[in-house]
Amino acid sequence: MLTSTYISTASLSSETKASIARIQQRLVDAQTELATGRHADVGLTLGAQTGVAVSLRQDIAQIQSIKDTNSIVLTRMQGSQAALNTLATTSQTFLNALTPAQSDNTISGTILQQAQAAMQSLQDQLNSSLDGQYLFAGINSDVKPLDDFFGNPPPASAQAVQAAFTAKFGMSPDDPNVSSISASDMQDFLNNEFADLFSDANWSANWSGASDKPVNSRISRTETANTSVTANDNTFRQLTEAFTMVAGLGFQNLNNATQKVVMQQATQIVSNGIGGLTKVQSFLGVTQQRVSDANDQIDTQVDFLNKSIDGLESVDSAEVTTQISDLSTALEAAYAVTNRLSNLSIMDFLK
Amino acid sequence: MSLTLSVDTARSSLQATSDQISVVSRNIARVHDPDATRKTATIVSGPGAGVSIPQIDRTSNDLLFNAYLTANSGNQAQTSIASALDQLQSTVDDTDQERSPAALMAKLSAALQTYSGNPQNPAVAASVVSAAKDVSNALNSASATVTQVRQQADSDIASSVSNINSLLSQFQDLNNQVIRGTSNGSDITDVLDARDAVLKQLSTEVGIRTVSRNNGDMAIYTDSGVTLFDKVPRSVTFQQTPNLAGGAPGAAVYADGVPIAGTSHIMEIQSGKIAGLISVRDDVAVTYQSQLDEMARGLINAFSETDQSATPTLPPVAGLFTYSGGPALPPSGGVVAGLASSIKINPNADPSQGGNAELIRDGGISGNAAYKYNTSNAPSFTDRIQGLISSLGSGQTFDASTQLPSSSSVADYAKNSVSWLEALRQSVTSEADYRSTVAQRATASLSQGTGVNLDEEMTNLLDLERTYQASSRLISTVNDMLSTLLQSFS
Repeated sequence: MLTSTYISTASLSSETKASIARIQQRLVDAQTELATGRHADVGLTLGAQTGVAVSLRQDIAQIQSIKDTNSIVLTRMQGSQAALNTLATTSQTFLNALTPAQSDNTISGTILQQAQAAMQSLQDQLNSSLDGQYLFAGINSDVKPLDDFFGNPPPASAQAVQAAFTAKFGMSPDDPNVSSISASDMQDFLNNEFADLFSDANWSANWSGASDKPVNSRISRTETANTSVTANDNTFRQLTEAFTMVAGLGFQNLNNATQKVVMQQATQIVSNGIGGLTKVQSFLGVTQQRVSDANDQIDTQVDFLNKSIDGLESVDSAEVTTQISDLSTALEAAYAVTNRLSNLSIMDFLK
Repeated sequence: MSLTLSVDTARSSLQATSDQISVVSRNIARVHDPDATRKTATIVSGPGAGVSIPQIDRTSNDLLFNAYLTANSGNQAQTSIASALDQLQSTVDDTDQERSPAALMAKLSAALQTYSGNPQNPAVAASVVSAAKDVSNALNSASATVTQVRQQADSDIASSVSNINSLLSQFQDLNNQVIRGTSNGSDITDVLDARDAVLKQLSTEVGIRTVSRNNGDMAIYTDSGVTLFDKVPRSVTFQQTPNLAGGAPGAAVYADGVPIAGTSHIMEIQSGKIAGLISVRDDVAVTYQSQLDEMARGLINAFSETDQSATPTLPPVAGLFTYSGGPALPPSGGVVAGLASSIKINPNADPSQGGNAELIRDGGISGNAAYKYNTSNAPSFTDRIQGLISSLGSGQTFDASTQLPSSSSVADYAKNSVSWLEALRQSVTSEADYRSTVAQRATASLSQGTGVNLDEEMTNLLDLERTYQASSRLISTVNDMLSTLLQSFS
C-alpha cells in the first residue's frame, strides 16, 4: 500500500498556509522599510553593530548641544568686543586731548570734561550686559562690575579716593586750596598712595564687583576656553586710574605745574591701557576664531555622523521596491496554488 | 459442496471489504488531524476458505517521530528565549526613538552642555534635572521590565510543570490501554495515535526520549536521562518564587527527585520550553539586570561629589543621582543588585520636590557644605558642570561578570549593553528561525510519512466497491445456479 512518493493531505494544506504566512510577514517588513527608509527592526538587523548606531547618535546629541552653546558664547564675545571697541575709541579720544593740553594752559576745563566722559563710558562699557548677564563680571555674572564713580551717595571707590587724598594733603579734592599742592607732592601721591588704590586687593574691595575668574566654556568635545574678560583685568584698572586721576582729584583747581604732572602721568597710563586693550581684544578675537572654527568642524562632524547612521540603518529603497514586487508575485502565486489545490479534488471526478 | 464454499468465500470477502471500508472511513474522518496516522486493514487468506482481517495496522515511523520530538523541543527552547529577548528589547527600543538608557545619557550630557552655556539660568538647570530624571526613570522601568520578564518566565515554568504532570498521567492511562490491547489483540491503533499526541505535547515542554518495550509499554526519559515515566509517572515538582530577588537564580525543577533545570549542571535538560525559560530567568535576564545595575552605579559615581575642603577628609558622596542607600556611594568593585530599580534624583536638586536645581552647578547636593564646589556662589561658575560632562565620558571600572568590557565610560557601557542585547537577540532569533524551519520540516516529513491522503483513500474506496460488487455478484450467481439446479428437479 505504501507508495514511493506519498504526501498526506494535511501536510499539503499546511505547507501552503505556512508559506503564505512567511511571505506576508516579509511583505509587512518590506513595506515598513519602504515607508521609513530604515530597516524594519534595526536592532535585529544590526545586532552587535546597534551600539555603533547608538554611539553615533550620542555623539550628535553632544556636539549639537556644543554648537548651541557656542552660539551663545560667540554672541557674548561679540558683545564684549563691541564694548572694548567703544572703550578703545574713548580712551584714544582722551589721549588725543591730553597730548596738546600739556603745552597749553587754557583748556583744563575741557580735559576735565573729557576725563569725566571717559570715566562714564568706561563704567558703561564694563557694565554692559547681555541677557541679564554682565559681560565683564567674570563668573559673578549677576553683579554689576563697577558702581557709578560720580554717584550720590559716593560709592566705595569715590570714598577711597577722597580718603587717600585727604590723608595725604589734609583737604578734600573739592577744596579750592588744592592749588597750593606742589607738583612734587602730587607726583609722590600719584606714584604711591593713589596707585595703591588700584592694587589687586583694593580694586576688588572698593571698585569692582567682578570675579577674577573668567567664564569657562566647553567649545568642542575636547577643548574648554576662557570666553570672557573680567573687569579686574590690569588694563581696565589702568584706564580707571588715568581717568580718575583727572576726574577725581580736583584737577580744575590745581596749579599749572601740578596739572601738568597729573596730565603727564595720565598720558603715560592711558597709553599703556590702550596697549593693554589691544591685547585683550586680540585674546578675545583668537577665542572667537577658535569657537567659530569649532562650529565649522561640528557641522562637518554632524554631516559625517548622519551619513554614518544612514549607512548603518538605511535600506536601499530601490532594492526594497524590487523585493516588494517579488514578494507580491510570490504571494499571488501562492494564492493561485492554494486555489488550484482546493479545487483539485478527486471528489469532482468520482461521479 | 464447492458452490457452498464459493458462497462462504464471497461472504468472507464481503465481511473483509466492509471492514476495509470502515478503515477507509476512519482515515477520511481524520484526514486533517495532524496526530492521525494512516490505518490499513491487511487481508489474509484463511487456511480453509475465504479471507479475513486479523488486525488493523498503523503506519508509523519511529525515526521520523523521534526527529519530530527533538526538533520540536529545540524549537520551543529557542522560541521562548527569543520572545523574552523581544520583551527586553523594549527597554532599548528603536535607535531612532532614543529611549535607551544610552541615548538618554547622551541627552543628559547635552543638557549639561547647554547649562554650561547658561549657568546663571535656573530654568536651564531644571532642564538638566528633567534630563537626569529621564535617565533614572529609564533605568527604573528597564529594571522593572527585566523583573517582569523573569517573573513571567518563573510562572510559565510553573504552568509548564503542571502541564507535564497532567500529560504524564494521561500518558499512563493510554499506556495501560496499549499494554492491555497488545496482550488481548484488540485494535489499539487509535490509542497509539493518542499516546503519540501526548508525547508530542510533552516534547513542547521538555526535551524527551522514549524507550519501547515488547508488550507495547513505553518509558519516557528527559534528554538528560532522568526518568519521567516508567510504568508509573514520576512527579515533576517546581516551587514558584513569588518575588525573585535581583541577581539571584530562581528555584530548580525536579523530576523524580533529581534537579533537571535550574541549579543543577549534571542532569540539566537541553531543550524544550522549560530549558528556554530557565535560561531566560537565570541567565539572560540576570545578566541584563546586572548590566542595568552597573549603569546605575556608574551614573551615581560619575555624579558623585568629593570633599572640597582645603584638606579633604570626607569620603565622596552621591550627588545628583542617589539611591536607597545614599548619600554614601554604593560599594565599589562589583554589581550591586537592585541599584537600577532604586536609582533616583536627589530631591535636594529637584525643583518639583522643593529642591534647588542650581546645586548641580554649585555642588553640595547631599546637603553638606563641605562638598560645595562653587564656594563664592558665582552664577556663571562652570567648573563643576564641565567636570560632570567629562566624568560622564571618562573611564570607570565595571564588573567583568556582566559580559561587557569592564573599563569604559558609563555612556559607553550603556551603549555596549545595547550592542550586547541586540547581538544576542540577533543570534537567538536566527537560531530560532533555523530551529523552527527544522521543526516544520520534521512535521512535514512525519505527516507525509504517516498521514492520510484523501485521494489515495478514495481510490482505495473505488477498489473496495468493485470487490464488494464482484463478491455480491458471485453470491447471486451461485444463488442463480442453485435455483436452476432446484428447478430442474421439480
